[in-house]
Amino acid sequence: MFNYSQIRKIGLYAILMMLAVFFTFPFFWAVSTSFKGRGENIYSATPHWIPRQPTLNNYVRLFQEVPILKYFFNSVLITVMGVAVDVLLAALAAYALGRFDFWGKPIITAVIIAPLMIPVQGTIVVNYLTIKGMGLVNTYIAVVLPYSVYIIGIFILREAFAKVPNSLEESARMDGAGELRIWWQIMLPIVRPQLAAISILAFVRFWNFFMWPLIILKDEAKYPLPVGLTALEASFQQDFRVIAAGTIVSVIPILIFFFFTQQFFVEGTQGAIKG
Amino acid sequence: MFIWRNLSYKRKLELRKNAISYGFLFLPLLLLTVFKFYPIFRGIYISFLDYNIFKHPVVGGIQQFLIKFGDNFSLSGLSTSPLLLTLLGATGICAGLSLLSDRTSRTVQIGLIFFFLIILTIISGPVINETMTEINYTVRQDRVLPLESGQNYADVLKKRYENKENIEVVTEKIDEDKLHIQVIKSMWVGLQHYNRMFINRKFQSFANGNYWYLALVVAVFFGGFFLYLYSGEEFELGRLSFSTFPLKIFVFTLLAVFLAITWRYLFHSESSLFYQGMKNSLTYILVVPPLQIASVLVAILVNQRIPGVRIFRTLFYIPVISGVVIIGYTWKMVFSSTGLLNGVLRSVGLLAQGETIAWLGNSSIALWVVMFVTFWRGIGYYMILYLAGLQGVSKDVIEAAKVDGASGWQLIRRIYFPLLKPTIIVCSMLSTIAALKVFSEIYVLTRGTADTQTMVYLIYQKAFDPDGGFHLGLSSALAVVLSIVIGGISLLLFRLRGKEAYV
Repeated sequence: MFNYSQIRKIGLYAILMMLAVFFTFPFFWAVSTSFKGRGENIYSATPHWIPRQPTLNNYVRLFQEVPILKYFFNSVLITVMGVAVDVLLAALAAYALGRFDFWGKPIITAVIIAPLMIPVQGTIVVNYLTIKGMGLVNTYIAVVLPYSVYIIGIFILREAFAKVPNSLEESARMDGAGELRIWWQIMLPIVRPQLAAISILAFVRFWNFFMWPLIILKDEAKYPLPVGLTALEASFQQDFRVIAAGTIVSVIPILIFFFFTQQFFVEGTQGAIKG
Repeated sequence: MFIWRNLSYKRKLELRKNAISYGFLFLPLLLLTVFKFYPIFRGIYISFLDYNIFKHPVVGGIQQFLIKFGDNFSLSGLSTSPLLLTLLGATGICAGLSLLSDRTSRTVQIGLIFFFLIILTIISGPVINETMTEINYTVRQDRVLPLESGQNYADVLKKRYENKENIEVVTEKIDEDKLHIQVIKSMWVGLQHYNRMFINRKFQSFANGNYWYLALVVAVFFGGFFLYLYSGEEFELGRLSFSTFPLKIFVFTLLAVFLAITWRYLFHSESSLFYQGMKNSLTYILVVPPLQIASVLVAILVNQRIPGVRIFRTLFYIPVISGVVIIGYTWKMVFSSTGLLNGVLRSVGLLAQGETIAWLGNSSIALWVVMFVTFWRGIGYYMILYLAGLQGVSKDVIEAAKVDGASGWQLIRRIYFPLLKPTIIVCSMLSTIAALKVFSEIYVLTRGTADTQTMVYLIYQKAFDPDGGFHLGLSSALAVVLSIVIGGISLLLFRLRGKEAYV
């Protein structure tokens, strides 16, 4: 028979399995719905998990009737732009904060930390007006611009820059390298791991971006995936088969991404608490 | 006279270093200024205006219009301003106190807080009362507008303003450069008005049931006093250094104002959107963050050293990375009236054939469904945070407790919870902030129908949704109130943990 520790282990696995079902069943239901055929009643009285008339028709419709690929590439474009700008600006500011002693450094540091306490939603109206004043409404630049300074990124990188030994910089300066060149060719390669970490954090930030693109983009052809999904709902009138297909298609890229960068995610999140 | 050549080498080097540093900082600082700092000030400014998107400027600026409500003043954005001023005052005074506190004696601190609370009690009760009615009025005016098919809301509203229907409108062309004078003037007139109102209705408002409000403030008052007495330090007059106390009071006061408004209008007024947003946000922060503490248990479960536990961690984390919109749609398939949940209930026999529960359409359930989705999505995130905390708990303590024969529940209650207390506090604050910012779930699941608008949804709806009438002024006022509340909590978090607490 089983001894105590085995029973305990079985109980533990049972609880974990139940939790796993709890955390994943909506996704499986979406998968199931997305393969159900047209003749099949998805609104039937009793739900069934295995499609009775399995079909790819919903995916075909999704790709034919909705510019889902366009949405996908818009998302990619916005994310690439966003991550590039985020990392670049964070590296610029962090370099100055981490490597130099200049006048008013404590004040500048405080000025850069302070916006952490301002919620994004509090600035959204005025940012819209600013963007409108610049004539940038309905452009990708407008989506990225207000979110281009990634404060957490600045502080992650500042610590990294501060740890780089002085000798490297001095020898480069001796060889006559300019400041920008030292930054670009010597400093940035050294802090590559931190750059990767903040790129991943910034990736998630821009890939799941919803409220701001919804406001600033007027043209449906420019929507990124999350906003595109809501447009999808409008055009298919609650036909959950196609919406489910759209959901599955949009979740796959991020799952693949997560699969390869899992460790960074966990470390990045935990960095929030270790202090 | 500044001559580069005459400077010493050391000085030159120093200047050069400064120039380089600010060169590197220039772009980030510029962007922060334009998109973070400027919006605060302009947001406060706009919140005093009635400012609609569709009123296009005549010459480069914005044409304003004043709506009169029978009294000799009123910009509708202004109507939220006393509330705002109260909160601003609370923030200012308490933040100031918390900065001073290391050097100020406790007698002065407590005196200031008493004084401030009394002033707050006297002023804000009737003022809030009055302003809320005005907001109700504005909102209702816009909501009842009939919309025929093919009509653009903005056009209808514009036409209505032009024809001066329903509402007495004075459209004045104000030069852009004189606008701020107008705003300051109206603020002044507004203050006078509130002053007058206060004098006239002091006793009336007492009689009207404002004693609920008063009772609450008094309760908080004494609550704060007892907190002060029993806050773990000895009571000594004139003693220095007591920096957490004003912060406690600060949060208390913010919560009190928030609660008081809700409380007051929970029982005494017809529902308005603003009230609805306040109530929903309050419900959210009272329900979701306490439930999130359940992620401690999940974290303890996945902290066991058993094979395959990493897979479970990954599975639990999937909702966090999937993105709110995708999560929203997967749950919509479960909760919609033709969805999975109703089907399951029917097949189990809890629902009769053909019977459905509108989980997302019923105004008494919908908010709870949305809160559930937020809760479900957050568990994985806080689980990871608690895992980091758990790894800091030494194994010896756990082993010792096990040797002493502690049961599982005792272990959790007596060992894990006390040791994880700092993490729990930080996570609670993070989830409170997150709960105040909830938007996407609501947009996807209900679009703000069935009484699910929270503050943030209202900010969006009032300013950018065709349904909301493009009231940028009102939206800004809401945004300022929200920013103050979130800023307060963030400040507290910041005092506790420093910048690392944000990702």
